[in-house]
Amino acid sequence: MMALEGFRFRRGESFIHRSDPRAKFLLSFAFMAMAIAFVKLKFLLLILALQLAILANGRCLKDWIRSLKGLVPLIALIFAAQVLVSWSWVSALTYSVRFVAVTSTMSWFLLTTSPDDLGLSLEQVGLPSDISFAFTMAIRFVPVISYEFQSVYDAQRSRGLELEKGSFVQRIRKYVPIIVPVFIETIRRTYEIADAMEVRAFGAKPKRTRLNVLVMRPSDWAISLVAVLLLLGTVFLQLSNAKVPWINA
Amino acid sequence: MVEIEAKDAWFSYGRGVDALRGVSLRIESGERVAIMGENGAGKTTLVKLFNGLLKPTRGEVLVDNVSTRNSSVAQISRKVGMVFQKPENQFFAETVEEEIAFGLRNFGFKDVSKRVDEALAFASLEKYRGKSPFSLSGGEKKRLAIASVMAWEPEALLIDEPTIGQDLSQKVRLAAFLKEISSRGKTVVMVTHDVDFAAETCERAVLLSKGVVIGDDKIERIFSDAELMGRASLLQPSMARLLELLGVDKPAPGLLGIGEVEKLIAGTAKR
Amino acid sequence: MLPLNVKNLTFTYEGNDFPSLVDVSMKVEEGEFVLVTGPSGCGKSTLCKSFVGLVPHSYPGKMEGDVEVFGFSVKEKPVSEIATRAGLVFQDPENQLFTLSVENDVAFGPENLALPRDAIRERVDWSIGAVRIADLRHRAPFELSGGQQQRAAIASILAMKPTLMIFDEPTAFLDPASAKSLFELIYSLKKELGITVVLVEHRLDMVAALASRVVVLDGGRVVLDGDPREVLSNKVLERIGVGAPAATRLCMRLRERGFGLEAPISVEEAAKEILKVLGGTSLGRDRG
Repeated sequence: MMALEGFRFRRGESFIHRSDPRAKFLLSFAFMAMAIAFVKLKFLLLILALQLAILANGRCLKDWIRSLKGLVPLIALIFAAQVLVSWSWVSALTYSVRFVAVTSTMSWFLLTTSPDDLGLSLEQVGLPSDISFAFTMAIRFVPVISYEFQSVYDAQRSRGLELEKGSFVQRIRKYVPIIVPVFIETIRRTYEIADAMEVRAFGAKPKRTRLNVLVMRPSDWAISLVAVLLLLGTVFLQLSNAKVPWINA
Repeated sequence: MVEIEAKDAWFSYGRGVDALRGVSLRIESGERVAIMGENGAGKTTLVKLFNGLLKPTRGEVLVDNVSTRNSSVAQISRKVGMVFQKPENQFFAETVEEEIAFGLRNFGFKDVSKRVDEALAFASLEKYRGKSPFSLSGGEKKRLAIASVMAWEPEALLIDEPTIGQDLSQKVRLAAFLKEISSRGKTVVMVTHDVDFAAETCERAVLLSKGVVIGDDKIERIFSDAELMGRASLLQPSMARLLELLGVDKPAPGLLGIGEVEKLIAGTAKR
Repeated sequence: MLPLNVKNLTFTYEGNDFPSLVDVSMKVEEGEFVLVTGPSGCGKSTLCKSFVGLVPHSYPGKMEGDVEVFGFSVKEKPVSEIATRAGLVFQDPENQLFTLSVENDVAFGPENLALPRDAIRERVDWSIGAVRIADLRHRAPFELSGGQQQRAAIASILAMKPTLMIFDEPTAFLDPASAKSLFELIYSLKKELGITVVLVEHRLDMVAALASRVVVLDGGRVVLDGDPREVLSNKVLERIGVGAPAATRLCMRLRERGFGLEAPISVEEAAKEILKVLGGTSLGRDRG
């Protein structure tokens, strides 16, 4: 649960918050491509530092750190596996940093982009509105259902359910008293949501209009341009075998 | 017998907001206590501390003088049972009978079927024994949820918002049921907004507001203090307000029910 | 044209053996504030759903009789069309807010009607102003209190510009103070905007004084329908498990003891009646 904290949107008024989701997505994608393409510690640290600067601009470093704490077991696993495979501390450190750099690309994007805007941008790049709306709804109700899960778990723990005890099969079976109520409640909730959508005329017209429309500002075009250049550079270096100091030499 | 005590208990769900800010109170064995306050005041958080589902971030909660930090939820729940707001949140079994047996099996009881029978009789649910819990009415579901906890005879019962979604006759029945539980010497602690129900079933009220105890006294004293009630987003029971309008400042204990007020007025008017 | 005209409505959900509503007839005139109450399982929610056509369109079943909203049969119009005349607010605000900001949620209905952007903005501004949450415009539902969430849900229905609004136990999840302020809001919507209101509720202590008429359901049937004073002082209520306001119950009991009291619907009215009976004698225990 804690690991997810670093990916949940927080409202803000920073430059990065106000930037267009499409531009941010391109930039985030460029960072991810570079972190995957070039496995060099110095370069990965540079990418990570740039992303930390973005997180700092959005004032969400704390959330990022919190999610990092949740990811510690995974990072430790990657580190240990690399030590075993390559017997190299540098390599182990490099792969761990790469993992953090890659997850951070998603982290700052989701932390600074409202799911509403994300849905809107999906719609504006041509996805049917039903699908983009389903996407927004999913993000809206994930925390609600996870809270529901927690309440049911608490209720059953109070009736003596102990998930930690027993063999593997027994433990799996112990999830039944939790899954069943959550499932039933979610179905009931779905009906209520559907009713509430109907009374607000969902599906009345073949094409909905939208109150808010995303508009690319000059700074958004600039971000997109930088992102595209970075992506082109990455592709070029990958294809040409050219060696550039700091990046892949 | 069980004693529950919070000593300067703090709790935070993270993100810098404290749900509870230094709560101290002691609940003696056999008491009937209503914990009241506005939504978000920390009421549910507090009762979750009492059965160990949550551990205080600062301070201590003691059940029979043992810190809840040193016991598992199951160990504490054996003594301090908890019934959640929505009965649907805990039903999963195919039959009413199985629903009651669930806790008993978890706690390793040998006499499961005998205890199931007793719980069914106690909650007047015998005829639904083989029915699905989901087929019951709202009031029956509530009683089943309580019976499925009372089956292992905890010393105290924590119950969260027992009257939500219950109509008058269901509430009357529920009040009688809780009184019966209390008469067996069990402690009853309820979280509720329902002033009339609390007045009917409890002798003590603890008012919480923004994570702090702002009142803890005999229930009729708390309910006759309009200003204090207002601070906890509660409205006085109609009878308390009426008595105030009629010029009675400090109602005597028990003077909150319609019956008592009726007698008082009838008696005075005849004189 | 009557906002609502229910004619001998009987409805049985698909898969049920017995009907949830039996031969229900009721009329709601323009500008009325009708309180509908009854024990749990009496058919209140099904009735609400039939007022906007969710029954029978979204909930299949056997329907006899009819419900007319401003002269149109709900059977013949899609829910989305009825929605521009009759709005329904549900119990749980959480399931009525789909997006991550109040503004987007209130805009949702008008967007579905494919209104131009300016018109949507105008409706959003007006609706959030009417329920007094203009300052919460950009907040997400999980950042709001229950009372604020329910106000947002009401605004999202107001944005459809209905002239009849139905509230199905809108305060079930609210604390007493928030519930009281929500009822006051509903009353002000009726007074200021001239909206006709049907409120389903069992917290009668709080709402009895607001209603111009009370309808009581039991077992899917209308058992009482009329002036609040008369209905709430009727002995039938106790028998079917409906809690009349405590002040009303007290006065009725005193009446049975032979005191000449009128049936009150509020604590203030009750106090006046009782003071008459006491004729100057004080109840105070501390008097000298």
